[in-house]
Amino acid sequence: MTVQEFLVLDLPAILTAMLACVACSLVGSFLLLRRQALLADAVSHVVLPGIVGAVLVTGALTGVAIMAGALVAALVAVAAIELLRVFGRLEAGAAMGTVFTTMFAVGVAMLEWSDVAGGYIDARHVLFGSLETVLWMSPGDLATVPRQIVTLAVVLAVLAGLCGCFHKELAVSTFDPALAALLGFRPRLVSIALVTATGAAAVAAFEAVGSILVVAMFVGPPCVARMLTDRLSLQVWISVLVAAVAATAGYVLAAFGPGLYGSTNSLNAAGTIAVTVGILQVVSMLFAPRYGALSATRRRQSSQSATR
Amino acid sequence: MEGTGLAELARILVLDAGYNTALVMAGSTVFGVAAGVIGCFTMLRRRSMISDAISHATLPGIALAFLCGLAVFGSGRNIVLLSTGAAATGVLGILAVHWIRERTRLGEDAAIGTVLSGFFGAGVVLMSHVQTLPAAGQAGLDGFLLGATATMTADEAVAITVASVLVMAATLALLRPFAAVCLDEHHASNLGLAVVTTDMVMTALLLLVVVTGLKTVGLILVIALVIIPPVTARFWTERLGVMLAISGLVGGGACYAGSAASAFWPDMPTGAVIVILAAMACAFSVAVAPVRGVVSRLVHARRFRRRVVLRQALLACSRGDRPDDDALRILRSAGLLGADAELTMRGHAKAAATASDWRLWELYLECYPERALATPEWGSRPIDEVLPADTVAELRARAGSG
Amino acid sequence: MIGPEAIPPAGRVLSTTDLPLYVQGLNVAYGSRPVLWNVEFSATAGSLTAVVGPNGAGKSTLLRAVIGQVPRLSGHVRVFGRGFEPGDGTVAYVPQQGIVDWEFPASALDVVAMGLYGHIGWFRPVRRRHRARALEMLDRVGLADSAGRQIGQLSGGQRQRMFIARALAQDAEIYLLDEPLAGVDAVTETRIMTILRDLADAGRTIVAVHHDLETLQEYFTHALLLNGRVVEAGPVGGVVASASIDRTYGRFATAGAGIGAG
Repeated sequence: MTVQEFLVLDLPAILTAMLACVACSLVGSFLLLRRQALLADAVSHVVLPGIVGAVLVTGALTGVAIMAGALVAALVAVAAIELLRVFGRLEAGAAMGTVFTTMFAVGVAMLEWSDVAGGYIDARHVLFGSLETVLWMSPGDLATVPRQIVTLAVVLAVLAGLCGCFHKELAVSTFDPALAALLGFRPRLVSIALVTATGAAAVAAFEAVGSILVVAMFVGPPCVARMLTDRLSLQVWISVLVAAVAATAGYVLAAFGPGLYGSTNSLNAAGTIAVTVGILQVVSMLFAPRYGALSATRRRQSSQSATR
Repeated sequence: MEGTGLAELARILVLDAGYNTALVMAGSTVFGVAAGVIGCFTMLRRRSMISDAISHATLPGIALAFLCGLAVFGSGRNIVLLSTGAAATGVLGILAVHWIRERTRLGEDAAIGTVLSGFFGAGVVLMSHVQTLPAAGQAGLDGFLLGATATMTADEAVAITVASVLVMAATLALLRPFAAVCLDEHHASNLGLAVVTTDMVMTALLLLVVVTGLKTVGLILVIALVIIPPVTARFWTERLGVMLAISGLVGGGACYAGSAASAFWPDMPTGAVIVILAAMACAFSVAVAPVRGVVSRLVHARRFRRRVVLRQALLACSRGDRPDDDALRILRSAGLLGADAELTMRGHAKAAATASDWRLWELYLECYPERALATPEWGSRPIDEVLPADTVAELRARAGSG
Repeated sequence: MIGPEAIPPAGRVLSTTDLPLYVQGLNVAYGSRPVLWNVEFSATAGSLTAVVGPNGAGKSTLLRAVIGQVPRLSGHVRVFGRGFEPGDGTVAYVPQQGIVDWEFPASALDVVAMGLYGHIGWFRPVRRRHRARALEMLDRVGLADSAGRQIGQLSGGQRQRMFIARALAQDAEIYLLDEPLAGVDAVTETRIMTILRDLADAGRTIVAVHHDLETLQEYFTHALLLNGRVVEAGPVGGVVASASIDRTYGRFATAGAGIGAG
């Protein structure tokens, strides 16, 4: 591997993965605390009809159009879920499952029946992502930085700015929506903003890692952080760090792992990132100093022997 | 050309387009019914999304089974083998969700998200490895993602039919314990039912349905068939038996029509079409179903509010108070208010009747407050329309003596 | 600031603009099951009102309807003669303990500081002086030592006191408390009631859902007997002396619920 190869092939992919993971985990921290982790699952699926619809309407795969399409789809989905929940008195899971599978099916059908499939995206990319196709053609030339990286960087900057500014509002409307409403913080507005942020992160990450593994980035790093700390701001920072580490490690595993057993092929990087996140989660769930399952068991045993 | 196309479609629909097509359609339909039926129980247990974790967790199993088959038999394309692999990792997925929920501080939503993305990620990695292999026949694996009935063989169709019939038979045989646990968990456990075991059996049947449906609708959309038909049915009825029937009908109907369409247009994403058909039935039900539909609910809520405000206006009049403007408007539209903004004769009669009815309601609240407060529509209707005749008679007797 | 001397003499008819809290013709239903029927009551400055009634009588719903947390079918809520405005800082609400996530990554100090968010305003950060103020409030309820602890590690009584401290931090005119004494020990109970009485003495208005009929007269100045509708409301002495309590809890209520059973 030459430096040139690294700059053209690997660096952009690592950067894309890292930015995507960090953006998703930032939003995911709050979704997790609201026990709405599955909203990330739902939104990441409905992004598909949004993107395909936007491409069909505008006739081109431009960043702004697909972002707008995806956000509209995310908000439509959440509105439909609320409708089913409030009027249908359905449990959130059933409402969510109904809406996102329907919209995903519409997306798949649109994809198959239109020229979009041949032209820009196909089902395989939707499901598995196409991290490997992010290339920096002439390294050093900032003008040729891949579009995905630019989009992700912008989205991440906006999300980070919003999380910084509205940290307090997010915290209070997550912990106690009644108090937030009483203090005039419009918890409903905050919820809508969070869904929009979820949609933005999902669509930006979607191109890189596909619609399903995005869920790993929303849920995984925040879960690891949740096992480790009881402080909100620390939790957000830890999950961002975990996301960055998992993205890098996952990509390295995919690109260079097969070389270890002599194969020249590489594995799907989105998949290895999800697996890395999963492994970190298992480790944190077992060994976290205070809340890990093993340390909890050990503490129980020692307190039993102490009372005996 | 048009004519032959339509004739062909008609032949497909009456299962007369060849042995294979007929088998595939029959298998898909039976599967749809089974999914709709077991899905009702999952929904009533408020655990619909667990199927999302299960279906995604099957992918690594499929890929591993394929690799095993390749190593042992030289070919991995055997539906029983692949389904066994799918079921194996599906079980692991269920256990993982359960463990995370019970043994860590994370909730069920986080557990499901973790399992579905982690397992699916592993599956994607294995699939990307499978693709680099020179062996033929990997094309069959793609069908598991988004469903493809067009490429289904007769053997596969038979296997799906058998599995679906088994699930349905088991569900119907266990109808009573399932219903008891879904309706009232505590009551069921008081009756000596093992709630945990019942849940486990229910989840096992769900797993079987999900694995069965992989080939028909694909692993990403299979959960739609255990969620959407029950949701559709829920809008039409409050009774479990009727709900199971409607749900089975919607699931079976969508799969029948979807697989027919797939036989007619072989390139179509079968799973997506099936889900869209089921979703159309669902959207229709959400809008117009008489029991829980949006329109009927809105009409009902409006009528209820009007009734409450009207009654209170009449009560206020009978006390000699002046009702507020909103109430006056409703009184006027009910024809109880004359041009002089005074109650009409009928209005006075109605006010007096409402006042004496309200005294009985007050008495009921005083005598049996907890029962009264739990009564739907208490106070908002004449008491003898809501309570049984003997209770009303008792209250009247008390009112007379008291 | 309304001092104790501003409390009007009993019996004087007040205009609704003087009244901190005035509820008129309030109807609330869950679906087609009425919960509150034509509720009318008012609370004067400096009063401590207990909302009393059997299970399902709509006590919590009444408080939540006042602050617009549950939709009203009809009726009005007037706060100092105006409609209730979220964010104007006049009303503080202490929820039942059960409704928040005790695993939430926040310390007792963080939660009390949330009471100050209304004063801090949109996007401004929590500063040192806010944290100092929150600590002061925790000290007032005797929890300064536990300021840094994660909320899940607090005992039931400590959690309740933390919520009271948060309400104090809001520095409101009207305090609505949903079962502030549920699950707390005798010492905490006395402590909470002392704080509430101090607030009332300073001219604030307290409305609390209360369960223990034994302590009703000792703790509160007014009582509102509720079972779906208002059975009786007024100064606590008169309410307790009347037969209304039986009419609230049921004429055939079993021993234990009625005051006569104690």
